[in-house]
Amino acid sequence: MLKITSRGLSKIMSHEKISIFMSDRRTFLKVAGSSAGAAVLLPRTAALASDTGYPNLAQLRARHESAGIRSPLKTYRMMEWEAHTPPEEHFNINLEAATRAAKDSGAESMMFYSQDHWGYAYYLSDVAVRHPHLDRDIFGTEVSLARKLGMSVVCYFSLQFNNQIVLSHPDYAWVNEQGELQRWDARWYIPCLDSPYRQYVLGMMNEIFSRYEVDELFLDIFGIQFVGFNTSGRSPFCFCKHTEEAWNKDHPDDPYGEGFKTPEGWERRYKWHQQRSMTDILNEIIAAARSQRPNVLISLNGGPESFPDDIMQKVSFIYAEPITTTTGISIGSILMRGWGRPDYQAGVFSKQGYLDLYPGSIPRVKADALIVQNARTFIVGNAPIISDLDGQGFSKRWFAVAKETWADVRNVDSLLEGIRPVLSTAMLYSASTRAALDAQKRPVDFRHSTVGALETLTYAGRPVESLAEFRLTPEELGRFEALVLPEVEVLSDAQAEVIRTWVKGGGTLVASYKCGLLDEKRQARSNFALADVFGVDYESDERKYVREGRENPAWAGAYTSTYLESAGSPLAKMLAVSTVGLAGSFLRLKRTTGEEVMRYRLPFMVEDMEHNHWFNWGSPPPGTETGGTAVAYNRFGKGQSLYLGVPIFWAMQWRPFWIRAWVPELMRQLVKEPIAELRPEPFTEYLHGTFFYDESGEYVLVQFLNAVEAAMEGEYRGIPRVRIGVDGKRLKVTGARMVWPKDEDLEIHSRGGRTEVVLQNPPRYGALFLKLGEPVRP
Amino acid sequence: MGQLGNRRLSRRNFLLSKTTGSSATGRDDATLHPAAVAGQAQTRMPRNARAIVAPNKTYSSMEWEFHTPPEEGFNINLKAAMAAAHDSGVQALMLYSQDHWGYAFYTSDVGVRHPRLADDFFGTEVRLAREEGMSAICYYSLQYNNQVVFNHPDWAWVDEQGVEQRRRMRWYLPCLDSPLASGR
Repeated sequence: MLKITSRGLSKIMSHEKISIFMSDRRTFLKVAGSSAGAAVLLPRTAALASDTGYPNLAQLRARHESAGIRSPLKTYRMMEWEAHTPPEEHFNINLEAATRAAKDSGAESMMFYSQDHWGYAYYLSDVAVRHPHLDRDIFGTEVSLARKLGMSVVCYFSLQFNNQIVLSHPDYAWVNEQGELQRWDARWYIPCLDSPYRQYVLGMMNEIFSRYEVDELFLDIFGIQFVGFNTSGRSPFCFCKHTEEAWNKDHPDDPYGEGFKTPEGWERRYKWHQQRSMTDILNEIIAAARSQRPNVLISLNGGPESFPDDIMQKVSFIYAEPITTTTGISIGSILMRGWGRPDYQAGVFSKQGYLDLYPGSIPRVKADALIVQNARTFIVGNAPIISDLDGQGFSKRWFAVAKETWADVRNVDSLLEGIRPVLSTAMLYSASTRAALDAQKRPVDFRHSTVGALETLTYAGRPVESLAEFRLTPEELGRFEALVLPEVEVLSDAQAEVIRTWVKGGGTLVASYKCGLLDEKRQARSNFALADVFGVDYESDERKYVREGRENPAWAGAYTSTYLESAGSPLAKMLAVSTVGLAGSFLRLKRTTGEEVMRYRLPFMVEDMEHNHWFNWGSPPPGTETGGTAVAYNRFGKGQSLYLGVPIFWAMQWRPFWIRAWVPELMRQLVKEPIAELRPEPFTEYLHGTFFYDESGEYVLVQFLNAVEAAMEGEYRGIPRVRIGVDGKRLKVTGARMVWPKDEDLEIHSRGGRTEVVLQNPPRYGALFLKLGEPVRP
Repeated sequence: MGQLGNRRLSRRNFLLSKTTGSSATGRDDATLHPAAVAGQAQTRMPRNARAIVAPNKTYSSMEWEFHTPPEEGFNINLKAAMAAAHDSGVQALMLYSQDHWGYAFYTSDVGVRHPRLADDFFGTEVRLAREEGMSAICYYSLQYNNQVVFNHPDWAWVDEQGVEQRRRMRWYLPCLDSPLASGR
């Protein structure tokens, strides 16, 4: 047996290139022998190609299973036992049996609680407050048991929910201007990090990481003032004496309480808070933890949507709680992939096992949706471990559901290491636009736009990527066929030039609404930054038909205030029968070189409830006046652009049918020969898939998922057919083979320059390889 | 001869349309919204256009919700709309005589006519519906009546504080103890 000390283990696991290591010599030789002995030198899948000519899943899986403890950074199967345990509760839990149940369900990495939202320590702390009924070192026992069973360990730490500290020391609390203690969901009190609680936390870090062999620190409830409060329109500022003293010490000429009235004063205090309560505290925690365990991984609950880039640069990998859609597409995973980092993880939330709320097939679909996007999965267990429950202190049903959740994941995750996405359509993720909308107290609007774009683009069946704006370079953009700018209001001159040059060279651009009407300093432009590419000029923002939810806030956006109709363009043929509508304002445009695709049809009236002007029960219908060009198509150099003067992707939050149908149709018309495409027949939004090159570049891994079961709450409906097609010029496919859930050679057909594979009665989730005659290397 | 909607087709074309499953309206399906195409497929069935079915016996009634503000005109091709209704499968059609705004859509001598009513709109609808082989239902909004309350605030239903009552910020309610009920 290899003997690995805790320090040695950490060093190995911190090294990304050696993320797995063998458990023993015998197993290593057995696996190496069965895989022709070349596994350690060649890319994994190619090395394990069997006489079928395709990677052998059974061998890959065997090698994966025998590879020993897998780093939290690299596993696709992490599990958390949520355990926010009130002071009344005890710990009559058979931890050994529970840990074995976790292992049996497929867990490779376990997250255990060192301090929960109640604020109690689960180990025998000398600096923190232990849970009043802690009868043994629960955390330490869990860590040891997990290691014995070959699982890596993550330390959960609740940073800014801590009831006991606030209840014991009200002067440590985060308070509002009226001095009221702040809490979340009427449950969790929030301590202020300017109070002595800060040193309390750092003391725990020293203790935990000097005592326990853990691989990762996961900080929960980090930056709650900014992520939870500010983004929902609430004040992110603490008004406790500690904060006030700290500010006044740093700013003797600018008293804390008096500076909130001006935007500059507000912004100054916001940045100061953000620096102290996010950047500085994270630096201090990392320093404390790594002073004891130099290579410990660090992660946060929250990804790039929650935290600024400087915070993201400090974490070992990106974790975000999932952004789900009704159609089951894992939008959050696509967003995280856009940061260009190899490892990203998303949670699959479960419900309490003792409630028996749903069948295991539902979280199974959610987990499958994550691996379809190559995200690492993380089952967040809702209270699976409870004293005396089911006789042994844990929910037997919950662990059975967890096992079913990973039914596909644990069989195919060996296929996923090192895969690279096939690129077709990119959506620009503009953090600058998000920041501009944050400043306007509209943080959610940008999420609606990005989520709406990613979802509708996925319906088109082509590979979809989110492209973080810091990655918008000529080289990166040049790898895509199409670029979508979903209501991207902020564009720098440099970004606009990169896009302009790319379109001129043959790219296809789709842009909407106030695209580029702000520069990088958020200064308004008088025209679109890409007006020449769009073929239209900006004239004005027409807002008079918008109703801001006077009657019922829930209706604010659902209220239709803009109508469009076809101008006879083939691109609008699908919508030619009548008008279509959406919420929000629209931009009046002046056409230059663009061709009119759709035009505005103005509403019959401007609704004015106070003066008894309204129509029927809903929004005023289309009237007799038109309002000029709404959508324009423009040839630009060798490329093309389609510009829409409406917030079409933002409006997807209400899921208008015409947007769901038209956007994918537009993409199909604009890019007629995509590099790859997957289409269910007949079409359903619930079946989606992805294309990734394997590590060797000799195969394309295609995964597909019929997620309808999640939407139907457990009822599965199969679909007749999935057609997978690739451009024969760019991907020279010589064969195809299904590898999960069954092994089966698939016929390939050539049709009009494209190579196709047709799957009849496809399973709910499947993985197959397309074999490439000419490998595509990174 | 078969008849679908207001388009007369030759027997040959009618049979052709049935056997090929193509649209009986002669439209190019590719120009239609997908929902319209799907709906059309469900209604491709031969009907005896002349057999009027009573409202209490039909399984296919239709209402054209029509609460028309005073600003709105009536530039509507009723004949084509009737044909479209019939083509969609309607056997009984509900038509508005008085809407929530409180306007009569016929040339009433006792009710307040819609200010832009040029002729007997309701009466024309009834006649055309019958010509298309559909039975007609008279819709009458009883207790939403904006114009009555605007013109006779003392006819309004009011609360204890004397505040006029209305629904969803839109529709005022007259009181049935007022002269409204007697038509005075």
